[in-house]
Amino acid sequence: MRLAILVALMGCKGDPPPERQPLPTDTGDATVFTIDTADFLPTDTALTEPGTEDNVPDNLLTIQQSGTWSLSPIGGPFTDMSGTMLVTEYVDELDPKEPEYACEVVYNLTGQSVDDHSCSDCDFVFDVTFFVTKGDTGGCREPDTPAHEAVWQMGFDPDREVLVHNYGGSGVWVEWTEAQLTGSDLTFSFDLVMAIQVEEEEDDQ
Amino acid sequence: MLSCAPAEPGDELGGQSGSLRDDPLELPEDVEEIDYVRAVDQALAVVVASDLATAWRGHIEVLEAGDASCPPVFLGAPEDAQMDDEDALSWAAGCSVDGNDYDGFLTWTTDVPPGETSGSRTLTGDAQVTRGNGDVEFQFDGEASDAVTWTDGAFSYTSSIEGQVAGLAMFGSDSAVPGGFRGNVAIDTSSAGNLTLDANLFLFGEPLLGRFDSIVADLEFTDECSEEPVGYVGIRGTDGYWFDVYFLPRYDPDDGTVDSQAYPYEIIDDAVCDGCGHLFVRNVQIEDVPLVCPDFGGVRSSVTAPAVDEYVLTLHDPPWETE
Repeated sequence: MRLAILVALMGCKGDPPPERQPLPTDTGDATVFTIDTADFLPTDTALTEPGTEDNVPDNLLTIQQSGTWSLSPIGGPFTDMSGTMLVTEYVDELDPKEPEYACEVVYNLTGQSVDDHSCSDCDFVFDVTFFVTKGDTGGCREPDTPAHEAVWQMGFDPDREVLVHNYGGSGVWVEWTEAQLTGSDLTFSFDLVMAIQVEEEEDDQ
Repeated sequence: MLSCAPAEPGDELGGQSGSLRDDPLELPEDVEEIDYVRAVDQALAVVVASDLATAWRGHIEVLEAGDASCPPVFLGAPEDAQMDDEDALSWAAGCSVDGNDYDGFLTWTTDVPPGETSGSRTLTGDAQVTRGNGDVEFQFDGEASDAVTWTDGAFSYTSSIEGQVAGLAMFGSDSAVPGGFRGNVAIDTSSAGNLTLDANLFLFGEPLLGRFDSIVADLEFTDECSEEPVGYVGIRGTDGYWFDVYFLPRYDPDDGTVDSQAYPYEIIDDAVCDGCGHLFVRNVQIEDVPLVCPDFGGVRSSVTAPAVDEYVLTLHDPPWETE
């Protein structure tokens, strides 16, 4: 390329060549490019990082939340509740002999019934207080894990057999867990497996 | 024969503010035939419809159309992502389910502060979901955010999108934006009638009125005039001509600032609160075309906001299959 430019520059300084190159002749066969009038939807064809070429995640997080409510008075209408809840989370496999949880939290629950609420599908609604008695919620990845001394407005929807809660007090009632009411005992459980990114520990050696 | 604005005293540019053009402007042949009111109405409908609420509905729809393994939903950032956001959810895939091909990645967050009837959310990524027949079901490449607050039935809403948004999951044939768009659009509005639009969009698919494929809007309704905003709307023809309609001046022409001189407000001698704007083509005022009076009342009344429950997305009741 440099040589070509140099030759070209040198050519500018000198006299014109004695014989000019003949102009190309018209062969009559013009190439006509057609105009694409179709609707064009551009697609990004670049490599999409961090997209993966398969849909099998390397790591999975298992989230389990379960517990019981004891409702009183027996026979209802219920005005008080007490109970417990266990939250565990672990990555990939759990060794049953030496279980190692990413998060293991035990709660005591207490609650008083709420008459003035907006859950039209609920048989009963309680203000439930979560007391952490063991563990720390800091290691739990589930973003809506109740914090210590958090108070949630929760109700039981008998038609769907689920516990629901007033999300953040926003007035939006969302499902919390499946639940079964037997007499004055309510049991609930929730299991979820999610893909998760686990950062590899740096090797100092 | 159309005429351009007469030269102002001392103006050597023949009234062509912001332009170095000193030759006569060659106007499009159909400049007198275009229904500018309809074109601007449609352009404003496009801008108002280009919010995150619309894109989010498509995002949720393709999540619902997946199964438990495709696309895989991550708690936090997807694998190999150069980002650190444990509070986000995301999917990253190259997989198919029920004839839909998922490709790329998306990351999103939602937040509903405790005790408040407000919410905010973000959507970021480069993802496409394509039907088996090749139709694009969902395409999002860019980043977006929005926030809403509801108080006693009244709302305030802001939305910002920068990127490319398209797909049948969001923009059907009856949509104001049937083909989707590329560009940026910011909306700030409320049920009290406030409305600010800042947009620069290229439209995919059929142009507006079969004629206009791009929109620029810089509009703000103020307390001084409820009938007409300050700012302008520009629509670009497929022939490359920009048609701009200037409403009340955003800047005082006498300011002498770069901003004030970037717009031809000094040429408009009757900028009054009447709901009508002046047409310019390539920055030259077209006086033989009547004032353009869009349906601003319709635009303002068409603005809506998402309910707070659209911002509640928990792992306990997710829109995607979990088993």
